[in-house]
This record gives sequence, C-alpha cells and structure tokens, in this order.
Amino acid sequence: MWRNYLKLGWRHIQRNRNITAINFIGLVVGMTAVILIWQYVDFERSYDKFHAQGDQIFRVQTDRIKDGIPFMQFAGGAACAGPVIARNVPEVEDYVKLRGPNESLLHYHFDQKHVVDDVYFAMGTFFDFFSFELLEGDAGTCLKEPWTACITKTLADKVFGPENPMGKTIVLENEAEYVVTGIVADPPENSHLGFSVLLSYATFSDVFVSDNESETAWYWDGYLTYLKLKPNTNWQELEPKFKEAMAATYDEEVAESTVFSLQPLPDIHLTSNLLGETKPPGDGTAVKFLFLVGILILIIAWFNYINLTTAQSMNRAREVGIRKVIGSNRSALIRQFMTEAVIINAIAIICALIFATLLGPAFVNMVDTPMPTSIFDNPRLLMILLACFGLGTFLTGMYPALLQSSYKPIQALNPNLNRGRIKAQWVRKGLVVFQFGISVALIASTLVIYNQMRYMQKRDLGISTEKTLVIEGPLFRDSTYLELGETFKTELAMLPAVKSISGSSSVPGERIGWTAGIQKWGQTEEDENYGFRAIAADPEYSDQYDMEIIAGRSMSRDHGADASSCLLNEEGVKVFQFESPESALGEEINFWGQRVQVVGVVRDFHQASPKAKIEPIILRNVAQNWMLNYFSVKLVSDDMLSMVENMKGTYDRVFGANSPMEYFFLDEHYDQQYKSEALFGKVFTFFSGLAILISCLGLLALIAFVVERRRKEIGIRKVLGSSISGIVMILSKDFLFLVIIAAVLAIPVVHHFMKGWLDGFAYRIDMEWWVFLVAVLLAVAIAFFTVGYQSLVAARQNPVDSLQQA
Amino acid sequence: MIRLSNIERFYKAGLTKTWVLRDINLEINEGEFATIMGPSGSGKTTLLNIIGMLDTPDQGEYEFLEEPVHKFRERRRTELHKHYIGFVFQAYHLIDELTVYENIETPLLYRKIKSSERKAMVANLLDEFNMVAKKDLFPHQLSGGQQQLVGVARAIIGKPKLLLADEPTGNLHSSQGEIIMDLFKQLHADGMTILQVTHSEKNAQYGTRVIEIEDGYIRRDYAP
Repeated sequence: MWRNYLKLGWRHIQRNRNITAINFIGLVVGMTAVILIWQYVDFERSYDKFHAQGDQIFRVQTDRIKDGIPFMQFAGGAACAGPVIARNVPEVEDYVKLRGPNESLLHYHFDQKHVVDDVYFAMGTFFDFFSFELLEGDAGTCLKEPWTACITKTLADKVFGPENPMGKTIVLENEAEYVVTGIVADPPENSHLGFSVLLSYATFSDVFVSDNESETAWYWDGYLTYLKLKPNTNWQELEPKFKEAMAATYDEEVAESTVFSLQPLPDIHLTSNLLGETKPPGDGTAVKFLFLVGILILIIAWFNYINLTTAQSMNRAREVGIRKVIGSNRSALIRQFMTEAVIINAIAIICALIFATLLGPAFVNMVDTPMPTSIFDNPRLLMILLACFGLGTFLTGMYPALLQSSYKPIQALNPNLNRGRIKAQWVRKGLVVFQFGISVALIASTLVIYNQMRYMQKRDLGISTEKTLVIEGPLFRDSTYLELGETFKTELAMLPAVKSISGSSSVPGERIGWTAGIQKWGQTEEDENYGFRAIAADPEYSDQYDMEIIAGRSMSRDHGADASSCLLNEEGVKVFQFESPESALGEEINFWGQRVQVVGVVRDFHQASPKAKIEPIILRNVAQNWMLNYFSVKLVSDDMLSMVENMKGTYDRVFGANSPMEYFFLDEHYDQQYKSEALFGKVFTFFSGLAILISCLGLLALIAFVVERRRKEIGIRKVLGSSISGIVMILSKDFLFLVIIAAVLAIPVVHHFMKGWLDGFAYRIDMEWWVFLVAVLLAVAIAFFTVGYQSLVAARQNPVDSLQQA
Repeated sequence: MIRLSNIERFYKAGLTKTWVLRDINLEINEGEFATIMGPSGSGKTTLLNIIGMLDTPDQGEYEFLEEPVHKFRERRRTELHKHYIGFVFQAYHLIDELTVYENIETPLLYRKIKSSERKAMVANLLDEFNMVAKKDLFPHQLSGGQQQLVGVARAIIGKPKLLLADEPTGNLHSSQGEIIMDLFKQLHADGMTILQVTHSEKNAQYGTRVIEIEDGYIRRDYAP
C-alpha cells in the first residue's frame, strides 16, 4: 500500500509540475534560509555551553552605585569579591579569579618577539572550573606557583616550533620570566573567554601587588571572578547574601555602593555588555530577531504549501470520489495525501541541506562570525531540524489531507454540482493575510533598521575622524617613555604630509576605559563622587579632532600651568550641576587628589557610536607612561598609506625596535562600532527579501488558480463589454483587500518590536507614520504586480476560447 | 437482497420541499439483472446512489442482505459497500495517474489483499478482458470503450454481489456499448446481481426486469 501511495504521489507531483515547482522552490529556499540562520543563532547561543559544570558556574559582576543609581557596571568583580563571597556564603563551593586581558610582548628567542593578545593571570583553580582541554601539564598544579604559565597550542607552535615548550622560559615585556607548565588546546570560538596565555595569578597577587590588596580592596575593579555554586542552589537568592557579606566585612556604606550580582555562564555572551568584557559581546536582540525571521520564512513556505495544495484540491475531488466509491475509507485517503506531503517535504529538506552546506562558507562570510559551516557537525541542531521537518510536514500535510478526504463522493463525482468550499476559501484567505502581514512587517522593519543605520552614520559626531592615522604606543615603556613620545611627535610633525599630531590615552571610536570618580575641590570622596570618563591628552588634541569649544579655551602649551587644567564636555557640566558652561570655567576639581581647573567646555561629542549615550568626560594632560597610548596623526592628504613606511622608520628609530609599529585609520576604527548593526541590517534585509519573495511565489500560483476558475466569468464579462482594465481590477480587488487587512494587523506588531530594537540605541529615530505607509504601499505594489500580471493575461484572452472550454 | 420501503428523498429550498424520490417500495432478489429507466431528472440516479449507499434517504427503510442499512453509521455503510458492491459510471471515472493495471488493482489494496494474490487476480481479469497488452497504459491513452472495460474490470475485481451501473454506455459508440452490455450479460449468467440505469430500450433488453420511474415515483415494473 505504501508503495502505491509513493508511486501515486510521485506521479501526481510530475503531472502538476508548475505548482509542485513553486511549492518546492518555496520550501527549499525557506528551509535553506532557516538552516543557515539557525546555525548562526545556535552558534551564538552555544557560547560557554561546553563547560561540564557550566550550570553551576556564575560570573560575579560589580555595580558601582551612587544615590541608588549604578553609574558604572563592570563585567569583572571588585578585587575582594571572590574571597569575601567565598568566605561568607556557604552555598559557594569555590571561586576562580582572572586578571586581564592584556596585550603583551612575548619572546622565547630574544630576536623573535611576538605581540600576543589575550594574556590573563588565572588562579590555579582555573581548570577545575572550565572545561578547557589541557594537552600537557597537570591541571591541579600548573598555575599554582608564581612565574608559571600555560600557553595555547597555536601559540606554542608559533613561538617554539618543533621544540617542546614544557619547562622552557618565556619572557613578557622583556623582563618577566615565566616557566611554561602547561599547554592548552585553543579555546573554542564559542567561549566568552578567549586566551592565548594564562599566567599564574599568584604572580600577580603575591609579587606584583603588595599588602594583599588584590584580595581585599573593595574599590579596585576589573577582576574576572567566577563562582562555583553547590548543586541545586538557587542563585537568584544569593545576591542579598553578598550584600550582607560586604556589610560584615567592610561597612554598610560600602555594601550599598559596591553591589555584586551573578551572571549564569552561558548567558554572558548574549546578554552582558558591561565595562571590561573579555570579548565583544554578541547582539542578543539581533539573534532573537534573526531567529524570528527564520521561523517566519518557514511559516511562509509552509503556508504556500497549504494554500497551493488546497487550491489544487478542486482538481483532485474527482479522484477522492472514485476512491471512496471503490472502497477507500477516509483514513486511507489521509495517509495517501500525507505521503505526498512527506515526499515533497523530504526532498525539499534534502535539497535544503545540500544548499545550506554549499552556501555555508558564503554565509559565514556574510555574518562574519567564526561559526562552523557544516550542519552535519551539529547533531543537536540536525535533530531539531528533523523534528521541525516532521512537524512541518504533519501540519502542512494534515489540513489539505483532512479537507480533501472529506468530500462526499456523490458531490465530488457530479460535474454539475458546485463544490462550494467556503471553509477552505476562508482558511486560504486567512493564510494569505498572514503571509502578507509578515511581508508588511518585514518591509517596515527593514525600513526602520535602514533609517536608524543612516541616522547613526549621518549624525554629527561633534568630532572629525577624517584623514587621521592612529599609531599605538609601544607596549614596552620605560622611564624615558614620555620624553621619547615628545621626540616622536616632533619628528613626525616635520614630515610634510603631517598636519598635526597629538598623544592621548584613548581615541574616538571606543568607550573610554579609564573611569575616574572626581569631585569639586575641597570635597572628599565621601561627600561626592562623580563617575567621569577621563581622557589624558596633549593640548592639541581637542583642536585636532575639531571639537567645538563652547566656553573658555582649549588647553594650551602657552599657559605654563596647563598641567593642572582640564576640559569638560557639556554632559560633565550637567553632572556637576554647574548652571552653564560659562559658569563652569575656573571651577576647581579634585582629580585623584590633584587640583585641576576647568579652562574650557567642549560641545558633547560621540566618543563611541551614537548607540551609546554620551557620558560625562574630563580631558586632562598626559602625566604618566600609561596615559600615552595613542598618537593621532592628522594628515594633509587622503593618501595615508604612502606615509606609513616613513613613520615606521621614525618609530623604530625613536622607540627602538622593541615591538613593531601598530597603526590604524581612525575612520575605519570608528566605523567598526557600526559593524554589528550594519551586519544585522544586511542579514535582516536579505532574509526579509527572501521571505517576501517566497510569499510572492505562493501568491503567483494561487492567483493562477483563481484566474483559471474564473475564466468563464471573465469571458462572459468581456462579451458583455468589460474592458481589460475593468477585469484586472475585479480580479485584483480581492487580493488587495487582503493585503490591506494584513497591513492593518501587522503595523502594531512591527511598531512594538521595532520600538524594542530602537530602545537599544541612545540616539534613535522616531518611527514615523510614512515608514508604515511606504511598507504598506510596497506590499500592495508587490501584490498588485503579482496579481495584475496574471489577470492581464486572463483578461486579454479571446472570450470565445474560454467560453467554449467551459 | 435489496428491500426498500417507503423511501423518500427531497431537497429543501426555503419553505418548499422538492421531492426527488417519493414512496419507493422495491425488492430486488439475488441473480436479477434489473434496469431502471425514466426521463432525465426522474430520480433514477438518486435511487441508484441510495442503493449503492453513496446517498442516504431522508425517510424510509433500506435493507441490504437482511441488514438495516438505514440504521448504520457511515463507517459501517462504507464497509458494506466495499465488500458487496461494485460501481460502473457513465464517465468511467478512472484515476488518471494510475495505469490500467493499477486502476484495476486499487480496490484490492483497500481490501488488504496480499500482493501475490492481487497479482494473480488482476492478471486473470486482464486476460479475460483481452487487455494484457494495455496493462501499462494510462487512461488517456485508451479509447472510451477500453476505458469502460477497465471501469467494469475494476468494479468486479473484488467479486461484489451487486454491480451498479449508471448509464454505462452513455458515452460510448453503439458497437463499444454492445461489448459492455455483452459483458454484463455474461456476468449475469455467471451469477452476478446487476442493477443498471439507462435511457436505452436496447440496453434494457439485456436485463430480466425493467423498473420505470417518473417524477420520483415508480410507475411500472415489468419484464422486458
């Protein structure tokens, strides 16, 4: 019997090639898109799920709170967080602390130096917590002693070549010597911790830091702290206990201002975007949206299937009638129709798997994510897809099967009886409304996303990022560094292509890492403490970046005392509650015990992308080695690359060849910030387009049926004198009506979701009514185009033909 | 075999009832070859459909093989007609996607007969009907007469007790029609009970009994 169903299904598919092709293309395109999207979504959601004890591990995150409002939120804990919590909260089994990531200059052979990213100090318990694979060395002891290190396999091969690194000594920053005690497999891409070197934490806490401050200070941030909780602990209930522990260890005030909370390990990548994240965080909203788009695409493809199959059922009613007469019961018919659904869906998913595999690399390129490209490496996802396929087949096959098997033979076999299938028509109309609702929603969302992107890119940043090359200061700096920096600047300034040059602690295009609690002079930290972002910069900095001074002056070398002057931005003026920018001038500020005077106020500028809110910023002079991280070089012409070789020569001569010159172009650096949004926009637009295309394909086939059924009517109307445009109108009217209903239903939904998305941006567009109007008009236009074409063909037929055939 | 008592069939349109069949009392015994005749719209086909259990009467009792069909639910009626009744249609009603062989085989599939047995049964019948050479053709590749032969073969493959035929030769040339009618005669001779609906006096001559129907009433019942 099954063979018979299969055979029959296959022949039926062959006989109705056009419809099957449309059904099939829709399903294949839809499933391919879904497979690709879900691979991406699955990868983004797979972060840190590989840790065997992952469900017991939580990261401690610190909020610095003032007047009940968190003004700084750190991904790491305060120095004391781990020890205090572990001592006072019995549910905590153990903790591990890391310090980093740092960039370091590393060598084994003195003449082969490597710039290494992601160097961490890590406690000996590191391998008890995390399931990173230790290839060589002892997990229990390798990070226990000071001056020991574990390095990744890749780095080991790069630095040591064929030599066995175990027991050998690596040198960091030309001076610190560590013995290699372990080799770790490279951490997987889907780990929020990505390291290349782990140095023993004991080196940091026992050697570099005095007075055990790294274990007791409540005011020192940036210690990545992970807790392992006892099994079956309700982690949400622990946070009040942390507060109690802090109050008991220090005092009530500290407990109020330094608040710890927990982040489940697997949630970090997509939900946490705090100061000092170890990797650029994933975009949880984007992942959610893409997941949704994937589902929508699949639903659209399924609805096509249902629509086209039920539309076809007119033609199959006779077969149903015959089969019932010769002895089939309803369930046999249902089985038969289901078999057809299974055949089409199965072939579709096989094709989709093949396409997804072929397109995988291109897709990975598109989303720019280091995810695996073959779904066959991911059995879990494969199972989900297969389950989804089964469910889809069942849902899409079942309705048409139930509908078609319900025909009474006597009606089905009588050619004169009108097989009024009002119910089926309503279902079909409902599905068309749904499909078009999705299309309208996707078009409107795409427009909103596009507008927001444009808005961000077109926004006046308040600074100029053009023609600027940024050279990073060398990693290795000794006591002469600031002087060398001056020499470097002077020598570069002599190059004809260089317009100006200035040194600074940070450059636009990133959030400022340096935060300082400052207050008016005469006040102490206890009285008031404003969280500012601080930039140390040469006096030329503000002019070079075209910052607008709205009160006072920029810092200047002409004023002897400018080592003690500073600039604020407007936001900073507000935070200090000065009445106006002018009234801020001359005010004195306590910056870590130094007395600095406000000499000017700059208009608010976007240090980071307009996604982030403008924060209070204080600009001050460069006073120490670590403040001189960047040299911004403004060039005369756009042709920057030709200058680089020249500058490299100067760099090597001034700083000595202790590390190669690293540089970047500021506009590119700044635009990096838009990368994830731009990417999301691109991917979203692409898949929305695909979804709309599949919808249209379905509509195209559906209207073909409608036109076919109304051929006789069209003929009669033409004989009675209707014009071609009149007939096109009659046929299009019904569908346009559906599209408009769809639009009305879709708009509030889009508005809600897009509002949620826009809320992620500190500076955003308003969703204006015309966006929705355009979306609806576009959907109408698409529908009209699809319907209109076929109507036109039908309307132009000679009525004699259609009436004869009917 | 068939006993109809006081069968009524009507359609309601608003407040008015339109009768298709009125007060039908009819008995047909095993081994008869009966013909229902009458003008268009007289209710012949409806009567046939009721007997074939494709339609249900609005009133009256219908016993088939001593079983009260009017009391059965649809599932049981389906079972009955599956096992005891074969249909032949004016428009043949073959399944377009199936070959001659498969069309004939299909009723056996629904009766869950084993593959080897099926093969033998279909092969025998094809042989009997001289259609072995055509077994792999699809319906649209056959003439009308050949299609109706397949239709008859399909109707009788399950060895029904009753064969119902609605204008079996209505779409055929007279020579093709004769072949079908000769076949019916042969089947009758072999013991099959046959009930046909026809306009044709000539076809009625093949049978053993004529039932004339007009405006929903049985007007005459006689031997031809």
